[in-house]
Amino acid sequence: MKTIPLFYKTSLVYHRTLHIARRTILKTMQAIKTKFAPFLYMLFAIFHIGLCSYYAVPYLVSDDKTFYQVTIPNKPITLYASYAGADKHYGFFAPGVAPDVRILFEIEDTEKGCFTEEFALPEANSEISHRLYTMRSVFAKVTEFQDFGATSLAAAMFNKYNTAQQVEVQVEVMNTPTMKAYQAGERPNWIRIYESTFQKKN
Amino acid sequence: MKPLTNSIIQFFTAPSSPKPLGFFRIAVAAFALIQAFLLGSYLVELYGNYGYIQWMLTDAFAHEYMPRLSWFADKLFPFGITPDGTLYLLFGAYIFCLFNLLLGWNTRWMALGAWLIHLTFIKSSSLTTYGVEAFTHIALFYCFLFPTGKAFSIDSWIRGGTNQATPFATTSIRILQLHLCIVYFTGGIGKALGPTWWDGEAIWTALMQPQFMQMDMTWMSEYILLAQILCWGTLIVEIGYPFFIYYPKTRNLMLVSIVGLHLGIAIFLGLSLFASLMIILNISAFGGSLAQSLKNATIQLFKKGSAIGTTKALATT
Repeated sequence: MKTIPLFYKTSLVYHRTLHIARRTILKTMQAIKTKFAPFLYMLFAIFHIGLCSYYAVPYLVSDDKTFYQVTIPNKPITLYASYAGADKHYGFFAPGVAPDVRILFEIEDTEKGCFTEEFALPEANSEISHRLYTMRSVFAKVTEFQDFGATSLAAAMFNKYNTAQQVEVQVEVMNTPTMKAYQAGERPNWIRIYESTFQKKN
Repeated sequence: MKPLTNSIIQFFTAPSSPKPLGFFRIAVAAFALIQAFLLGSYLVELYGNYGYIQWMLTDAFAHEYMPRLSWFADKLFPFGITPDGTLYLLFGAYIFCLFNLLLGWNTRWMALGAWLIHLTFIKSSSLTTYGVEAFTHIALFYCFLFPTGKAFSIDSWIRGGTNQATPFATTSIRILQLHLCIVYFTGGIGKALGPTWWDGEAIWTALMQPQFMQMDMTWMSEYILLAQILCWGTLIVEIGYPFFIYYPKTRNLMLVSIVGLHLGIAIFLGLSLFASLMIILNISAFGGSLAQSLKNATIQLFKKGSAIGTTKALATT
């Protein structure tokens, strides 16, 4: 009877073990890829959608919609929600349509005299115009912001007109009559809600 | 309990084609490029340190860990790059990322870049951003998260992609679908809580505002019922969205209704970019069934046409 050398036997066992280990690893990897990864992604999807609802739903019943903020004690989740856009709420034109707002600058200029300018870019496209509208709306809604915002805008005006000595910032909201009132002859009018004067320091 | 769990797993992971995600990526990237083109000429006024709202003020509104233009400006200033230079540099990088995202070259990295730069811009101008920015931000995040490079992209072409159905594509589409359901349902309920959406005054007020007025709509004051119907229609479409869109028989009707609603917003309120983005999101999420129905209808019409042609030909002979 022919005997198989020991080294050959060991090598055979070694290669067989290696083969089984490799096959097991590959099978596990395949299982992770086809079964666990989709399952984990599904769990993540449920978490993400749950988070979106968590931020969006309480907004509906909140009293203070301007300063509405949901706080989650977990910082990483709050950060994830902000980065992923899951912290948004969707109250467009809700519960009603906010009135239009306009901002006027009454400027006293040493060279150009006294003149009024509206905070608008008539030559700009509608996208720019919608952004300026958002800013004007913040002015009207958030009273705490008005002084800071007016200072910032006055600075922009002093920057635009180098010889201006004084800038008065005026904020007005549009009062739209109801359909019935409009039928009766009432027309939209502007109501001033804020004004502040800034002078250049020499 | 087990059948329910299985149904949920099936709902999220039954393999589907990545093609809708490829469409989503291309449409979102093209949209963001158009938006960037429209904003490009007023970059300094809107986002600059000495624009309408200075960075000092916008930084106060932002979360401490949120990226802002001032961060980058501080880091680049020692290299002789001014704050406005930083602004243009980032804007250029944003355009580069969007363009490559459109083509689907290094898709995930480009989506990551576009998403983070967009976030930097909106966090540096939180006082001038409106709804469209919120949805652009969400859409760019989804372009990064979802396997959007698996179809209609250079990446998939290089890898010899076969547009193979995967569970990841289904889960991704489900995320988008459910997010849209939350958007419309909460938006609709929010509107229903206000009295002006019941008496028709909401539509009237919006149409009368100089900001949104596209044409003279004062005649509407004579037709209060029309304004009421438009308001109620909006409430039905928005609140009913999650229910009608998932019911197969009403899905296409709901999709057409919601697209109609956004077209109305674009035409009568001038919010064209916002409306186009919402249409893109809706078509990416639920357009598959509508496309299939249209395809089937066209095939049937073609078959019918050829059958009539054959009958006529036979009758002539």
